[in-house]
Amino acid sequence: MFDGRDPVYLQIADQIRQDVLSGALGAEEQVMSTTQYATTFRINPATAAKAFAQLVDEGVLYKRRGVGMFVAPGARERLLADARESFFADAVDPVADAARLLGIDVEDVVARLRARAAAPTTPEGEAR
Amino acid sequence: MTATTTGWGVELHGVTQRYGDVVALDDVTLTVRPGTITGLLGRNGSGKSTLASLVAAFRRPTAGRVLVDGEDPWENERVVPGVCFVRESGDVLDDYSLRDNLAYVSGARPAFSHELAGELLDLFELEPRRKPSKLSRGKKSAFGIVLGLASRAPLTILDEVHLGLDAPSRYAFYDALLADYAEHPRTLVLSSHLIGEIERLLEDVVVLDRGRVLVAQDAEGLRAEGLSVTGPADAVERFVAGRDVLASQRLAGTVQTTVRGVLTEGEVRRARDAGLELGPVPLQDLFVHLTDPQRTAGAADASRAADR
Amino acid sequence: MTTTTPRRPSPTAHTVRRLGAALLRLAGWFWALAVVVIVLANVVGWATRGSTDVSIAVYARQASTWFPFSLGIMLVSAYLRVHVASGMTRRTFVRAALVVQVAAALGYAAVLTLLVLVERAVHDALGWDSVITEVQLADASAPPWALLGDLAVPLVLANLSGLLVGIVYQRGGAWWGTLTLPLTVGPVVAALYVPGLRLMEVPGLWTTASDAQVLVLAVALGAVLAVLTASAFSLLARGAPVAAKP
Repeated sequence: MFDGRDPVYLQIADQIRQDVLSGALGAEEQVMSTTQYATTFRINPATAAKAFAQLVDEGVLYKRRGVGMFVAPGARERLLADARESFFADAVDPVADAARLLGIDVEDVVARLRARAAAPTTPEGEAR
Repeated sequence: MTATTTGWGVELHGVTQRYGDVVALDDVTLTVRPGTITGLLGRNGSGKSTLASLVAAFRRPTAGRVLVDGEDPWENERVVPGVCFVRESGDVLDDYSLRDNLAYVSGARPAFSHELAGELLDLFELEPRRKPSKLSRGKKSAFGIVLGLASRAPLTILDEVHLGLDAPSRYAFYDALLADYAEHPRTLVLSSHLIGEIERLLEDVVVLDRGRVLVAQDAEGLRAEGLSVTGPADAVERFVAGRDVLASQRLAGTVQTTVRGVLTEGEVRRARDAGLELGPVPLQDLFVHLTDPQRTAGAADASRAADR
Repeated sequence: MTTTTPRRPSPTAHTVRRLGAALLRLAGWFWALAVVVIVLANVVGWATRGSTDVSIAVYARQASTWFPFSLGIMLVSAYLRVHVASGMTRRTFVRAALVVQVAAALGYAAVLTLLVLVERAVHDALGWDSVITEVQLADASAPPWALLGDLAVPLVLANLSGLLVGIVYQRGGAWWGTLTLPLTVGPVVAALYVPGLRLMEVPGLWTTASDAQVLVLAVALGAVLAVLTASAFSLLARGAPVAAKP
């Protein structure tokens, strides 16, 4: 865990964003404390605190004095909106670029997308 | 006591330590930020233990000034109770039981926690009636850790203490250290030549090499400075030309080069366009490259290093 | 139960207790053994010659000088490093070590005096003599305080000398430690054998002065040497680096 290229605190922040997006962390739900985070993942508490500070700035988390960190109301919706905004740039554009490079007809790609979207279940976990 | 709530900082100004003809520390100027977990890294004989000895007032420097919480620690009645330096060799009464040793130390440490000491003895399966002289190397190290953490000194320096422990005990140690640090913030200096496992615990890093400070900065920043560039030999060579190349490996036509320095977004794009793969470098690898004697001894010629 | 205390006890007092307890335990063994040997020797004298007309107890003077001397060396080699590593200054170690060693010396002198007096009382009751054949000033007719003073001088010096020898070996290594022995242990040997000048009637102050005068002189000389020894120990210990255990 936490071995990617990005600084650890960015990875932690990403992890929490994902949990909020997926619904694993609901609105008003308490997040692990920096101490719990630090001891659970064996990282410096300052690193965890940095991630939390970033999420507070973004409005994903908010702090209740003396109690801890909580998921802000509407955080999931905001993250979803952000993700939708970057979806085409992050996910679709590379597909189009790759298709052109490989000489795959764009209609074939669209057909595949339709078929995939119509499938009864999407094994979401496997994609990650 | 206010001291235990924040931790003490350390400053060294032009500190030199000689043992006869041997220069253990050479004009070292350095700051350890209060309240951090700082890694003191260096190869064997790089001066780590000497530096810690000076900070803990185990000895006086040949030249220069050492300040702990703003004061010279030497024979300083206010400072020395708050500085705890645990060496792997151990500084305990060998012929008295662990219990007697704890009683002796607790009477000298203002913030000593018997509760924590008891928990740690259980954690490391140390029998209080045993004598240190009868313990294995690992158990001796563990007892050093018990004394070091239970003293709750505002400045605690643990020198290579985790090396003698087996893997489960090491993880237990990291967990206990983080848990107690979170509850009782203080300055912790972890000194070692093996940093893989403790890498994520560190907020700041100091790298010593042959008595000099090679690096002193935050761990995240140092990690961000290490970069591996992999790809076709000529493309890699073009990209790393003029950069601080730490190491290079060649496998058939592919070269992997470790570079020090932060890339701009434009450079990242240029690298990807050139078909190069960029990756992180573990702190341990970065440390090994930085302290490579062949690199620092010669003129550290980048192109020559790349050809190796 | 509180887990943290805002203040620690005085490091000197803490160390005095610690070192004192260690020395007391060893002193218990030492004197238990000494009493057994003294009684046995008296019995052997009685069995072989019908009576023991010399003080056997006073022969413990040599042993009770050199045994705590060796403990002084041990205190420095075993405790100074641990003391500093536990967050206390060398200054407080020096104070504590001086206190316990001088106290030990006076304690040993008091016990030894007591043993000599008890033995003398027993000899008196049996109609035996209690001649003192040790090289010392106070003879069998001397009052108890003179005996105590006479025994205390080499004992105090030996206890302090042990500390000095310990710190010189620690700081200077085997070479310097051995080379300086005449200086570090010389005063003890002098205190032990200077009374011989009077016994051998060597011309000079030692022989012409009265019993009381010569005793005062010995105590005064011993005090000066003791202060010099203690100062040398203090100076060396307060600057001592604390190397890792070999």
